[in-house]
Amino acid sequence: MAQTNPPFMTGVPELLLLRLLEQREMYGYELVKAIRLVTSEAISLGEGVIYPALHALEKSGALKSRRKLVNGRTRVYYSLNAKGRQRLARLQSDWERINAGVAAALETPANA
Amino acid sequence: MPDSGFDNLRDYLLTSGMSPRYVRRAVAELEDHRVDLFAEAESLGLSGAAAASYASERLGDPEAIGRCMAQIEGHRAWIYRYPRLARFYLPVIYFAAVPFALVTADGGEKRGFLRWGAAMMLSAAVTAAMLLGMQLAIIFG
Repeated sequence: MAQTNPPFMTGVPELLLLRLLEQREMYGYELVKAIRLVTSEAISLGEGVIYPALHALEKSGALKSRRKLVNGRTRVYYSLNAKGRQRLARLQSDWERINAGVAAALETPANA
Repeated sequence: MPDSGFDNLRDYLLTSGMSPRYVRRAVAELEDHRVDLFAEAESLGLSGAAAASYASERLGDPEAIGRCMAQIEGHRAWIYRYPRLARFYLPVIYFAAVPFALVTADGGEKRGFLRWGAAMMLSAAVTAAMLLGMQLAIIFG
């Protein structure tokens, strides 16, 4: 299994959460499972870490939450709002730029 | 399930100045997540202590989670978000507004209002002096 939360992962949970919540509303456990699935388990977060990320995104206005009673348990479902979509677009663009830069650097011979 | 460290997390968040409402919600979400992980462990054939251990390991260190949560400024109790307002402006306004309201109060109850107001202000002043003394003892003690 991949190492959880390596140092260069800063910002990745936020990007993944916004991307997944763009598709449909989800609760915490469901989000963690979805992250493992869509990243083919390449990214395995310490699961508790997603809650501070979700709460911070909600507080910043990128997400909204609602309580829903499911099988006698109250779950907190998160969904994206307009501000969250803007943030996702910006983060995605930043990520693609950085990813392209790092890929180019890794493809360059070390003695170039 | 054995204790998962959430009591310590709850205490840590409250003493870090997070609002009690947020703390209740955050801990409830983590507890709920842990129940799901426990069920997942059972579906994998684990039981009892092994399932609890699996759930705790997957969830991560409650202290580390607490440290991340305590950094969310917007979830702090208002008294920690606006310390100047809570510790200076509101008491000053209170001490200024109460005598003003009492002096300007009209009608036959004015004397009663004044006695009540004087008693309230005296008790507030004594409490404030005690708190100041404790604060100074903490700082210089």
